[in-house]
Amino acid sequence: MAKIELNNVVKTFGTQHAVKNLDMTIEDGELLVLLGPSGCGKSTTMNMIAGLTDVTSGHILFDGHDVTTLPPHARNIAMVFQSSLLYPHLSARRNIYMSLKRSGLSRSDIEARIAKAAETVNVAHLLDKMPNQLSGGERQRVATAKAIVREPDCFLLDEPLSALDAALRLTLRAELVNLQKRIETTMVFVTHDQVEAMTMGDRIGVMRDGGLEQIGTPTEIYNRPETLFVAGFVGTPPMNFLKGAVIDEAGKRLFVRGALRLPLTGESAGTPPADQVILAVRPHRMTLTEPGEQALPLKVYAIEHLGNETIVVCDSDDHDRIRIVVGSEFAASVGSTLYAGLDTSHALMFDPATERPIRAGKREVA
Amino acid sequence: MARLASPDTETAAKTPATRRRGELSNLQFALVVTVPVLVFLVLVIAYPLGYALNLSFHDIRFFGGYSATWVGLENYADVLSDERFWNGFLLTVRFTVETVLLTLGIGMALALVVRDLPPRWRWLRALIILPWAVSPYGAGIFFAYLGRGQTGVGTALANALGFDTSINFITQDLVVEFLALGAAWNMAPLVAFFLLANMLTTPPRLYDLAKLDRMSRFETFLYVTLPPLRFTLFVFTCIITVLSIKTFDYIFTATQGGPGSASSVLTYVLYRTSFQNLDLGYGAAMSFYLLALILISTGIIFFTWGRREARR
Amino acid sequence: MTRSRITIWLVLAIAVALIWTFLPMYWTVKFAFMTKPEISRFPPLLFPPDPNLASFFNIFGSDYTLADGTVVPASGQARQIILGLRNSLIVSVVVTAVTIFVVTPLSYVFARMEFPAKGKLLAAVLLSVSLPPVSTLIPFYVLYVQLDLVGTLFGLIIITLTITIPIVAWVMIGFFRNMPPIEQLGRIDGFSRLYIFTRIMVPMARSGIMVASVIAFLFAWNEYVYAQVLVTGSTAVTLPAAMSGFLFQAPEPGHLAASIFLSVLPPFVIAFFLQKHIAEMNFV
Repeated sequence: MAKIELNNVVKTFGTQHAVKNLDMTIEDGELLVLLGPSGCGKSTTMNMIAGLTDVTSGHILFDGHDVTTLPPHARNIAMVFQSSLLYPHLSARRNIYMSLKRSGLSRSDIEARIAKAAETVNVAHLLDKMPNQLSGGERQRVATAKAIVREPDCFLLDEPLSALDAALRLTLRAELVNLQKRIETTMVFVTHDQVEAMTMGDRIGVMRDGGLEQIGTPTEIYNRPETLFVAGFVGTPPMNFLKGAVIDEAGKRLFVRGALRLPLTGESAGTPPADQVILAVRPHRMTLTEPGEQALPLKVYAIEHLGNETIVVCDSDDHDRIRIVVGSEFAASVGSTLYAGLDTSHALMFDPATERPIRAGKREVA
Repeated sequence: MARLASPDTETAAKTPATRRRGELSNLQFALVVTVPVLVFLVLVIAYPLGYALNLSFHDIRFFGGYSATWVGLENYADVLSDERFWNGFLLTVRFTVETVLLTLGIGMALALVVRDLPPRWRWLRALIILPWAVSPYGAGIFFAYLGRGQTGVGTALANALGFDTSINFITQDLVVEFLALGAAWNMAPLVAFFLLANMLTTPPRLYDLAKLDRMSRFETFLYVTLPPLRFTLFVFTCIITVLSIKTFDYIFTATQGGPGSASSVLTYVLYRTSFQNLDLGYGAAMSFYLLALILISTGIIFFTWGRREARR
Repeated sequence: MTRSRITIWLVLAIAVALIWTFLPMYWTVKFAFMTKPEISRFPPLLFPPDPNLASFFNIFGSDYTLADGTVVPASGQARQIILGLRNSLIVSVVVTAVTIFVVTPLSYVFARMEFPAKGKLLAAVLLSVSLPPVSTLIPFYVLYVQLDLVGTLFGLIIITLTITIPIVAWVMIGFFRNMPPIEQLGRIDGFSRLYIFTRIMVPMARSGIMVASVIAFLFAWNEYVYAQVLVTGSTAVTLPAAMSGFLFQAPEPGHLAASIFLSVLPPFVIAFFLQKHIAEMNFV
């Protein structure tokens, strides 16, 4: 088991900053998901934790010990690569064996470990097959067996499920989480799939452009995104953004946009007046309502029936795409106008300049 | 299991030079395997080039004892006013352009034929590759006998059909075209194989799409088959250009530059200058023009075509 | 893919392709089965009227008695041909082995590692592919005279390596580039770079190495320009150089055809069996 700390870690390739001043702590026994679009530096970060990529500056600590310059095998980690990479010319058994070849264990110990690991992930019957004879899911399980056979302090998984079909991913996701909880080993999981991140992670670190945008539990990330990017990246369907202004009217704060005048309630009631704000609200927090000054006029663009609910995709007056989740029986024709109200107590206010939330607490105390 | 916290971890962290003791760094590993080969290549490639460069500034004479006189750039200037050089230059350009076009065209045709083979006939593909295994000097001999009026296939067929005539392809007017055809025979199979490999990666659905769009066969070829092959065609244009300009043994065995000097391409003029007239300095200067021609033509192909392909 | 149906057009196209492929070879090779008078007959014959194997016996130094009792005498060049066959085999095998041995690690490093000046070094290696042998012949000849390497197998091997190494390097760099990032797996498993290369990458690259060997062998086996200048008439003569005696000094089309037939057989066998892998090289 290990607690992993990244202190001010920087990685540059030539003049290009792949990772910028990253500070992050991964707690012992935790499953941390690194989430972000491709090229955000998440894989580079993982490779630095693994020791595959040299750190340009900064330090990486395992349980308080500096491992920054240690080679991968001295860090006692195990890694599963993209598409569950295996040695193509070796059988599943030999592949797992390669993890322990340099461990100095006796042959019989190794055999026992391989058997146990294979048992744990149900691949005992596949051990004599070659990687190209295995299905995607089987290959993933063998790669997992290869990782756990080492009994490492930390598992690193670099998009191991990205090449698999949706149903299989669902199964394997649950298997991986279950396994991680059983063996109680720290795990870092890299993905660009926010659903995968939300369902698997104890905590999620959202990265963009080589920097950490936010780190927190799935609930925190979902309910309290700390940047516009996180707000827009996490959640299905994604959050709606409305540009507008906040004004003060007789001591009450209103969100104003064209003819729309929404009184702010709950936490957002404390938002200081500003000419430009972005109001962010989850599609579930919007409802269809009658025309009026508290209703946002929208044009129906598409309707997505999901069975238990329906997502209405609309165009707002300034051509922002707005999604509303409604009941499954909803029907409307494309191009028709409807009116949406929203629950401002669940809305978040962002400053378009800084892309950060406007903190209610920071308003004038007067 | 080995714990990660060895006692010297702290010091190792402070002195990166000691990292990964007992293991080679990227650079060291690269140096170990590349330096010996690179040194060898430099010795056996740079040396002759340097030597030739030195020769090209001298007038070398063998009559009345070996003598080398420094003449500066005189050889280079003389080459430019040498009629044989310009004749060879034009023949090389003509031969190269024709060879490239024929090789790519025939390679494409061969690929299209073997692509459409039903599975039971696929073994024919292995036969199509065979001319590629023939050496250039062998191809030269084959096409010499094939094209000459005295022994050629043209004469044989004409007479078999009842015409009492001799058909000769190795003539002043036709020899370059005939040689280009032979060069294409030699090189087209490789082009065909690479084109075929690329064709097989085109999604079959695109052909269905073309059918739905009611494309003619030619349009299907133009809009579905051809686009994914463009990069391969570009690379082979470069390769065949270089090979055609520097070819010597093929021409040597096929025609010895003849008839007259009708197929005395640059390499052949160079051979005559250096080996028959033993005018080594002059020949060396000429060889640098040849090298320049190779580099300039690949450069032109790259800048007019390659850069567009590479960006995609 | 379009429908795989045998239409009259496809049959026709296949026929044309096969004629295109085999006619040029056939036209010369048929001389090997004909007598001298038959070869020089005008108009030229389309088929050997009475095929015989005289030329094949002749070039190996045996007389041959035709069906009508005429004796075709052995070729005076037989010794050169036999020697050439032997030397060509030695040169090609040694050159192939050395090329693969040095080029495999070289191209691995160029394909998969980052180090300073890599681009320039690579450009230099590949640029040497475009050097015409005719321009380097004289300097090599002078150098070889000084080093006493003219007419030696060793000298020919060295010079042939300058052809095969850059070409094979080019082919193999492309091959290694397309392999999955197995080194990272190996490093996680604690293996050294040398172990990863020799015990993991090389076994994985077997098919690529095989095709590269074939290419090296073909180039070495088919090399003519340097051989003609450096080893003709010596004990280090190679098959192409030995054959050219039948072409220039004393034209013997029958013997020439027989020896060409022999010289294309090994490349044919190799090309035939490896054609499936050729396009795997991905060097374009």
